[in-house]
Amino acid sequence: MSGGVDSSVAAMLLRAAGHQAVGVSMQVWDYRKNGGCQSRATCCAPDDFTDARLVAARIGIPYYVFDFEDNFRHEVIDRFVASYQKGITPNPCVDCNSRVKFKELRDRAESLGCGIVATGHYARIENSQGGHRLLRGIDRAKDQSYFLYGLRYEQLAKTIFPVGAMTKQEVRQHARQFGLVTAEKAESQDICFVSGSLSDFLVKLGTPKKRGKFISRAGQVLGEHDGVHNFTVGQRRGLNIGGSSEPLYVLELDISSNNVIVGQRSELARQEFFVRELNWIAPEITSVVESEERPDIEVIVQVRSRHEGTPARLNFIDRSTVKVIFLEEGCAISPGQAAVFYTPDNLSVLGGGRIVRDQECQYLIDAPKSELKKIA
Amino acid sequence: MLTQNKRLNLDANATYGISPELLDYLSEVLPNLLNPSSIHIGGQKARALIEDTRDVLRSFIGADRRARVIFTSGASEANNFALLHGIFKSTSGNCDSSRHFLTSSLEHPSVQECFDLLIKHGWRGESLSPIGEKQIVITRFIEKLQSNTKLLSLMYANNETGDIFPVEDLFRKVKKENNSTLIHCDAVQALGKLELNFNTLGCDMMTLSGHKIGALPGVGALIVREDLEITPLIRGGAQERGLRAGTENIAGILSLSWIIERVKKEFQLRLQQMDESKKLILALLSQNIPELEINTNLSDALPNTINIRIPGILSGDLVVALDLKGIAISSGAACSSGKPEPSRVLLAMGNSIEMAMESVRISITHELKPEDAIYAVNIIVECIKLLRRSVVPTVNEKAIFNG
Repeated sequence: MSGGVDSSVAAMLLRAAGHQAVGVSMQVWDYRKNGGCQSRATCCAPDDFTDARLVAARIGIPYYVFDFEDNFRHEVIDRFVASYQKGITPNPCVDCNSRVKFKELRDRAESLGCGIVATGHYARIENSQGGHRLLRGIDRAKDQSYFLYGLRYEQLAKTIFPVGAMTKQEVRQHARQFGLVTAEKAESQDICFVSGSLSDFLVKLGTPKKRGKFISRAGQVLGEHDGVHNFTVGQRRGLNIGGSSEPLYVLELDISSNNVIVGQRSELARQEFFVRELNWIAPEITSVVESEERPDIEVIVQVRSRHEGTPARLNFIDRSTVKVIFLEEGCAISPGQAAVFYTPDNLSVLGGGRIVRDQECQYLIDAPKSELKKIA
Repeated sequence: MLTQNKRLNLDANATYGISPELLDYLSEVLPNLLNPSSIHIGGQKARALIEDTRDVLRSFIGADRRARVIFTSGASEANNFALLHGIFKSTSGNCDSSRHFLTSSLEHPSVQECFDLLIKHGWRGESLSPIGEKQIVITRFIEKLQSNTKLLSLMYANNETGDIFPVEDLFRKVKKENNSTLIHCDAVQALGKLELNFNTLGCDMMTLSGHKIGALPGVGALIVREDLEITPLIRGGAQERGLRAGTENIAGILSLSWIIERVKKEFQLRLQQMDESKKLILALLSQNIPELEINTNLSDALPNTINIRIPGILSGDLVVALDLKGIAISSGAACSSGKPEPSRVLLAMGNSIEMAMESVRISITHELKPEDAIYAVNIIVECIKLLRRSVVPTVNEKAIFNG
């Protein structure tokens, strides 16, 4: 229970369905130790816990606050900061789900005799003859299945997403009807542990502020910036580069030279890219991955959270690497972000992984196919 | 008979719990009572019962008729009253930097924070450890006693560990060495668990709390030696001799006399019951948890309190696990967000954070029957097993396994 309306209603629905529910808030960040939090844009602040507590009392379930600071710092925040220092854009929500909420929290729940973890995520878990499937939420605009690709198949049977089959409007309505204090609460935006500027946060945690250059692909110097960590691939705003008739976009972050490579929109689009740190949820894919031939499959791929998904072909380079080839128009992709693969009807999550820079896969691109079989 | 949903209060030091019979008594008596300061009969009845409570309390704590009983909203108020306001005149105002105090390092925050404020107002002073062999503790305090030590405060027994401190002997020694030192004793945890005697204890002011003995929360008392001049805390009325104006908390005060009468009738029996159950719990826990460590100084502790450490188990997790099975214990206070924190007291005693984060307090009521004690221990052992199976240490692993 984050203190938001989604998890409030999720808890309420479980209770109404007769489950023995226990409400838990994860304290992942100690606001007292970190200069207090005035911003309402974050979540899990002390005020949010008060809301969660009131909702739990209203619903009639026990409520506890668990200390997750060490775990969260290690699994989410450290990785987050390290990504920026490597010049890639992290996705902390994916890490939190995979490594904290559905791992550590699940372990703790089980030690308390609670076999199921439920959250207010907009996603669905369906039980069919084929087993369990992770589906997009009904409310496409709010769908969070993208952030959940890291769940293990075995966990699906022990996970419930009570609000995934509702629209946000319906959720708020339920909250109002039941008199929950969070019914009209604004959504939390951005990253839950960053209040204030991201740049300041990163610098405070040790990211050096190194000035560098904006350069074009051709090597022409176009301006200066004050830290590679301030940019992400595809970014247009905040570049402050004059002298160009067309808007410029960040194409690449070069940590070694401390340069940010910028270019025109047309240069952004990629036709193919590589994905690693794969996690497969759909059992039919696991058998493909395990097999000798590993034939290509056709999927819908979503490459960022605000992306509807687009048809692509997956080419299995080896067990841990997949090449994604867009079948229609090319797309801008950000190394570090998640690429999530859905069934061709764009409904069911097959799995996903992390988009990597071409350089990381260079040896695979260069190696002859016969050698690849040996590596695999 | 003993179902999983049976709830047991093994957190008596947080609050003793309210008997349904107390509520029966109050619903009988309260409707006939009006404002105790009024002239009419409704007021007179109320006034009489309140004054009666003063006598009941005095008699129970061994204070003579002349000792003043000032009813407050609880112990925190009584402590603030005693240390910040009450002795204002006696210590010649609060802004003289030559004033010195002594207190212990294990006091309740409502005592500690008063001393923090006194320091801001120019007082000097020290917080000394009350732990150790009696004579050593007494010497430790006496050594620091100065001619301008205006105030000394030492609690009778600690709420978290149950340890009893050498208050009577120390107070006697202090008065001998420096007659002008005002002595305050927070006896909150002692009331109803130990034989209190205000007269022989030798303190000038004593703090008591109602709900720790089974009265309603929201009532406490500051007992003051008869000839000590006290500055009012709340002005604007004649109640409590003008020292604490405001219409009295009749329900609370009556609940205090009701519970004291009850306790008096069977005091020794209660103490015996507590002692039996505590010994049983200790024996069973030690048998089933060989690595158990006992933090309480069992040779001189409250009859109902055991503070223990279970290596490898986070106390916050154990408290939750037990709560879900109907057993209430505690592990030190929660912080404002609700996240469990290690016991301040254990830390102040010099223990490591790891140790404090693995320690819990079991404090029973006299009502815990032996079969309930066994039931509770079974649940504790069961929860520990479950927690151990999926131990995901978030505390520094090395520290735990290296002791």
